[in-house]
Amino acid sequence: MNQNYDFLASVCSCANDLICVLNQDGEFLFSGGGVYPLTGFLPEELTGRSIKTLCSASGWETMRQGFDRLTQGLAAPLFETQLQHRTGEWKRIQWSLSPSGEEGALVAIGRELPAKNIVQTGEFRHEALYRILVAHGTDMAALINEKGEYIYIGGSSNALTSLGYRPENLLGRSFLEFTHPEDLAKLQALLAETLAATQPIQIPELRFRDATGNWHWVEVTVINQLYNPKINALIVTSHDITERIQTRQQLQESEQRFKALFENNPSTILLEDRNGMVLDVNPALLHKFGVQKADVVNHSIYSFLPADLVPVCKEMIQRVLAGNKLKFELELPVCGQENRILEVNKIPVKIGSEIAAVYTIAKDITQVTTYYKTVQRQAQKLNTIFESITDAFFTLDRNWHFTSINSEFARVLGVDRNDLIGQKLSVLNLGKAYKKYFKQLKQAAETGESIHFEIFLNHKLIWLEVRVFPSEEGLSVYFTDVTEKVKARQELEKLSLVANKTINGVIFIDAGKIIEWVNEGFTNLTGYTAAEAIGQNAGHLLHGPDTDQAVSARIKNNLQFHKPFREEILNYKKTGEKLWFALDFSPVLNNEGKLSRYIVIQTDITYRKEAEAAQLQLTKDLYRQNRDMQQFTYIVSHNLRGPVANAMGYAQVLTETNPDTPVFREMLANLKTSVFRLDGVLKDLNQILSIRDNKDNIGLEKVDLAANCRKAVASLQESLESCQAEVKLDIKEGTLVHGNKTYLHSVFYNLLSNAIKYRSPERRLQITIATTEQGFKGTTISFSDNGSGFDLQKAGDQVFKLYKRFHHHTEGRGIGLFLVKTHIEAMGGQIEVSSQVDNGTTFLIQLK
Amino acid sequence: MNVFLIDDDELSTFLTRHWLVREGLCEEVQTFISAEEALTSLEQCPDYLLPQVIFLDLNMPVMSGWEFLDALSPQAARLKSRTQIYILTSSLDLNDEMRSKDYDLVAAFIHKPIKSEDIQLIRFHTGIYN
Repeated sequence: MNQNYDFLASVCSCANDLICVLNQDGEFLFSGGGVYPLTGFLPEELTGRSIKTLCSASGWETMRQGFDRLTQGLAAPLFETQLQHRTGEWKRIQWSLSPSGEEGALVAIGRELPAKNIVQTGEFRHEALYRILVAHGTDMAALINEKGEYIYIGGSSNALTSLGYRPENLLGRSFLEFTHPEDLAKLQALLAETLAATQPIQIPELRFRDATGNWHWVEVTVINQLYNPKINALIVTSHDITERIQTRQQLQESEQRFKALFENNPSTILLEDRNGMVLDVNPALLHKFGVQKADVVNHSIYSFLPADLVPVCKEMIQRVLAGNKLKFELELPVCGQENRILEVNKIPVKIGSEIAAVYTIAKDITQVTTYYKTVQRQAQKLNTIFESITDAFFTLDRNWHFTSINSEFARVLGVDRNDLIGQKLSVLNLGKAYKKYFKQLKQAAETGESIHFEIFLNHKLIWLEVRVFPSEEGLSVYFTDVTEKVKARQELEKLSLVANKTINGVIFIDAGKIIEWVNEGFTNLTGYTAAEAIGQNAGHLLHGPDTDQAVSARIKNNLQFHKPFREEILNYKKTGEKLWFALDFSPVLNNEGKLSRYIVIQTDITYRKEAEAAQLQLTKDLYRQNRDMQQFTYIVSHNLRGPVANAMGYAQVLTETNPDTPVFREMLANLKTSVFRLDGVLKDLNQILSIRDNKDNIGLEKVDLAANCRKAVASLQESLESCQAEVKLDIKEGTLVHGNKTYLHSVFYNLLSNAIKYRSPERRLQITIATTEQGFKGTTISFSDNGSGFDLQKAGDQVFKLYKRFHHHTEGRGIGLFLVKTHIEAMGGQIEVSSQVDNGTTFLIQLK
Repeated sequence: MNVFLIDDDELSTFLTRHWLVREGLCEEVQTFISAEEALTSLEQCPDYLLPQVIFLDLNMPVMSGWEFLDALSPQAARLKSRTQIYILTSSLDLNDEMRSKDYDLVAAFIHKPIKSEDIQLIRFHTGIYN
């Protein structure tokens, strides 16, 4: 390469032209020849530098286009640029470009042109003038020979340049070559015609190819000058009419478009003249009204309209004729159908400054109108619904503006709704609650979920229940004034707190005694939790075996009257422990005066009841002791005093009696008997008092009944045998009773002694002792004899009394049965007696 | 002089009888150890044989002294002018003494054992001094 350049350099050194090799960016790869005189730079100074720095932007652009053509394998035309000398002087350079043989590099040869245009040589001044005129016109002029080949190119250089050609590109080539194939036949025909004529032949609208391959519309005039020896050619002048053709085509297209718009428009279109004569109608109109074009065109429009519409339409047309566009709605009756509503547009058609006709475009908006009316009706309905909502209500759009408000809302908050519509939510005075309120609304809007809350308006002292329903449009908000409800609830909460914390039991029951609610006090007292108690019958839950049925029945009865009442009743805890309650029943009536429930307050009065019972017991004990005292006095005054009186009498009488007499001895014996009797009574008293004093201390145990009974029989064996008594024991072996051995022995001993004492003299004594098991009641012992018996009716309740006797002529002191009863009772048992005179006596003893 | 003694306590009747005889109030005492027997006897007794004096014990089985007095009330009119009833009891109970005053037939209330003063009183009452 460098060798090539060296060779070039030696060749160029003697050349006057600027010879250089440039790459595509215009950088000098090599320069030589007249480089210094033309640029002021030495070749080595230019290498690596771009020619762009020496020429103007347009100059470089022209040069670059030349490069491109060469790259595409096309010939590059000569062209001219300005080039700046190192001194700043601009020089005109004519360039010719050729390939360098290397990829991306080309050879450029620049020759300096003289400072002024060189006018082509001409023979005549008028010719020169003519050339100038032609050169500065817009037409291209050329001479072609008979074959159609260009032999001279002249005329406007602009015209030629606009096609991208230089004269040398055309010379020698056929005019036909550049003509559009479709136009060729026409051109050839006309050329043939020209050859035969002397008159200029005009060839309209011919397509001519430019240097880039695009087609230009040209208007060509051919003048046959073959016969003119000075010219001997056909003069061809051409004029570029591309723009005109395009304009005409656009006009045609827009006409087509208009036509299509008219023909295919779904709206009915009618064209009328100033007098209302129909000039044209579109197919939509024909279709719509079911008429033929001939029925309408050239008829007066008014002949188609109902009489009452004519004046209106006439007035309308006058206004359009005054130059206004009009738009109005027209209700048109249609035979056998609903009236059609038309939206009519009237547009004046101006020709010049005069309005020649009027277009009427009518659109059937019946459906739309109907739909609109329906929407309006629905909106009206909706509004009625809004107003009929008894809750306060409003809606907000997404920007927190009020879109609707009902009258209840305005009433509750004391606002004028017209003031609020369209205003921001924040205009609403909600006092301190606003923040909380807004937060809730915001949450609803963000989550899209409806919410429900209560707020207190402290400036109005009311509670509102708010329900918020978000939608795409915004929020719908409902208010209810719940002040009363909230107050009642708060009151109830307080009461509930009191009820719950009191130590008394508090329960709610319905009229059927079913428990609805219990407090903690109830649970503490009874041991039943709320869950165990609720739903239960209070009576079933709390009453037990010792609960007074009469009180229970009285409560049941009182519950019917819906009046407060009070009762005391024995209840049972969950553990079975007894619990006395004072119950205060208070009925709760609803608004209609009907019973909704009873509130029952339970006060634990177990201690009081126990104290009362203890007091009662104490009274009983005192009474008994008092009675005992009386009885003791009686015993002392009668039974103790009797033997004492006797002893005193005998002691007295003995002193006055002669000891040696039998009477004295009898008296002495009687004195002795009296003293022994006295001792007997004292022993009895001692026994009675000791039983009573030890009543709570005796050891009770399981005692073998049969064994004890046999023992008592054995101890009286002698007496029984002496009277030949028969004792029959029918006691199941191993029968155990709750008792005391000594007492049990005393019981059997006394009963057996009585049976012997009061046996019938008429028959042999028979004693039967039998037992029957009575389950949990214990054992019943039946003691029967066939003795003399006694008159039970007469004896009455005296049978078991101390020192009561029912027989004469016996040694009985009247203490036996008293002891029997006392002993049995001390063992927790009971005794009854039945007797018939001369038949026998039966004692029934109940022991546990 | 006709005297009834109604008392179930034989030790006591022996002693009473001894005193009455010894004091010379009567020679014989008709003794009943059961009030019922005495009642039957009185009912069957003609007026001229009615005792002038009846000694009556209170504390007796089957029929007590009080019951005897109650049972006697139908004959009260017949007895009133002829018979004086003396309650002779070992009881020191004041109630008994008070109660005895309710019975017109009862002349006096005497605590056992019977003493000379009691017999003097009976003599005074009855006017019998032999």
